[in-house]
Amino acid sequence: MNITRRKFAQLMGAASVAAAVPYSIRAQSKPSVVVVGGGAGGATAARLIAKDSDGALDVTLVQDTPTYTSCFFSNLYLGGFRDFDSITHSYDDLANNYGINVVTGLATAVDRDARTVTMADGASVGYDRLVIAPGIDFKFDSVPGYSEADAEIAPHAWKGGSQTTLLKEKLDALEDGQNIIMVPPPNPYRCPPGPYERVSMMAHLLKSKGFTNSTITVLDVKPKFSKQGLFQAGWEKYYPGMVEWIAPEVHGGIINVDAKAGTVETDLDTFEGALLNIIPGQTAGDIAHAAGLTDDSGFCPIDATSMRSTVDENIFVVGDACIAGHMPKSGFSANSQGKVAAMNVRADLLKSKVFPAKFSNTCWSLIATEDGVKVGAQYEPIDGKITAIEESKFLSKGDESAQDRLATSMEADGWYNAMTSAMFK
Amino acid sequence: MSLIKTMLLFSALFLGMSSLVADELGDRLEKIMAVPVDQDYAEYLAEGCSSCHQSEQGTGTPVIEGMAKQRIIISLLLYQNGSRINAAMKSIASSLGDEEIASLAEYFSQMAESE
Ligand SMILES: Cc1cc2nc3c(=O)[nH]c(=O)nc-3n(C[C@H](O)[C@H](O)[C@H](O)COP(=O)(O)OP(=O)(O)OC[C@H]3O[C@@H](n4cnc5c(N)ncnc54)[C@H](O)[C@@H]3O)c2cc1C
Ligand code: HEC
Repeated sequence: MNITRRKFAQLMGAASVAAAVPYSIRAQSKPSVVVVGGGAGGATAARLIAKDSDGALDVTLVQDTPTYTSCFFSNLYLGGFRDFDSITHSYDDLANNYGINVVTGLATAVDRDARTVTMADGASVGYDRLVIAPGIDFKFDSVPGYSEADAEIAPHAWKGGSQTTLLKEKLDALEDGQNIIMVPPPNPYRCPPGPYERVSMMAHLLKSKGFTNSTITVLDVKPKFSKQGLFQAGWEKYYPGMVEWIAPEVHGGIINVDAKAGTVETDLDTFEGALLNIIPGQTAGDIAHAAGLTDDSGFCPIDATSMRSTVDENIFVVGDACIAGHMPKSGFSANSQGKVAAMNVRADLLKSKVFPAKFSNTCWSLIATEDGVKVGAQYEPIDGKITAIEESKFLSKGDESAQDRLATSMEADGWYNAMTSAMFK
Repeated sequence: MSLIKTMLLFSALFLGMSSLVADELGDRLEKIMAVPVDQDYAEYLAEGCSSCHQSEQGTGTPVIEGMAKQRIIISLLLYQNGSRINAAMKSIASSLGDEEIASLAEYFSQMAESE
């Protein structure tokens, strides 16, 4: 129960939320909402739907793992700025504070006619409204020679959890003189600046161990990348000679990755690394495909005013799995979309008010100790597409003071705490 | 001239604004203070702030719960007109109209800081 909300309601002299629910709905059995995926989008939506409906809805959150390890700030874990526990979160508060029925298990199918979600163990859960927020799955064959099994040797660490710790172990085990090769993913993928923040954090770790002979080679498949100028200036400043970014027109394309041999063959040369970080192309989480919600792009088309699937009016899709127009695939975006979906789910089932959708995103990246940069914008639905408001776009400048960079890095810490509270508290 | 407006004029001049700009700001403040607030709209808008503003004191982002309504309004107006500089807050504040600012300021000012 949220005291501050109640207090606000009293102070405003308005009717409480529960009283606003039509009697007929309360008298019958409660409408039910199922949310698949307890990450940035799904946990936000489940929490808000339950919190703002004050017990008038049955809310079930289906999440395959008992805890959630965020990808956001996992690079800071690699760099030694955070420990694993600080990026891992429990679902207990969602169950205890809001009565959300948290089901630990994998959802494998959706019967859209019967309105049920089927679990891997055969159980099924019925819904009146379904929120799909499974994040991404990988297109392993987008990288020649790489496979799902190879991810145990050459981790992608682009999903939180065991992959994150595997990459950390391999990184920590490197000795001076051993090299890292990264192959970043093709567009579209989650967290556009993420691979390059990771390069910065891996370089920071090597530098802080006093390594002078190890290098990080980035064999990109894209000709340019997010915050490129800021990252490259940072690498030059803090890690001179350590990081080499090679554009596809220079290496000529990835021909083969041999995870066991630790090699990446390109037109230009065969690169060898003691640690390969291979990040394949991405598509909406499997369950979105299984439910028939994706289009040819591999992601889910939505109505930009509500986050409702254009395929099925009883289903909403938020986060990395949806086609969010100009918004990047980020935790911040997923959280922002989750709020809009939550408002519309409640309106569908409880006739609560709907306001015009507003979306927001900021992505912070840490380049080195106390040196943070950010990029962001505000968004609104225009002609069916989530569209960036041109004047609202911002990006850190190359000539900012050290103090500005420190302030930005601290803002990111504040955001992480606020954001994970908006998901889990 | 109201007390708030006088105080604003002083702080604006302190920030190096021309008295003309400060006067405009004062007029907007008084106008926004008078805008009626819809509770549900305020709560909806406030969700957009809670992804950065924590309810407990921490690093980076200030706690805005429990802040005086005038202060919240003035801060948002100062981010809008560039007198107070933070790229993220400027981007956010610039997307807010008078009704939004009034609703958010009312909402957060009614919150007790430590709850
Ligand atoms: C290295 C890295 C750094 C990043 N840094 C940032 C950052 O600084 N800021 C930022 O905003 N974003 C960042 N991101 C992006 C961010 O992590 C994602 O965009 C965000 O997590 C997307 O949210 P989501 O809800 O769509 O998916 P997720 O957060 O991945 O949540 C989906 C959850 O659903 C579960 N799930 C999937 N399918 C099923 C199923 N069938 N049944 C049950 N459970 C299921 C998954 O296990 C997962 O826990 C980063 C990403 C990476 C990889
Ligand atoms: C992207 C993260 C982010 C979001 C979202 C955000 N803020 Fe802020 N806000 C900040 C930061 C960082 C500061 C401190 C900036 C500075 O140093 O001036 C700040 C400062 C403020 C201040 C000034 C507080 C003071 O000390 O006087 C107010 C008021 C404020 N924000 C209101 C809001 C409101 C209202 C919203 C929602 C519409 C919002 N903010 C959304 C990051 C954010």
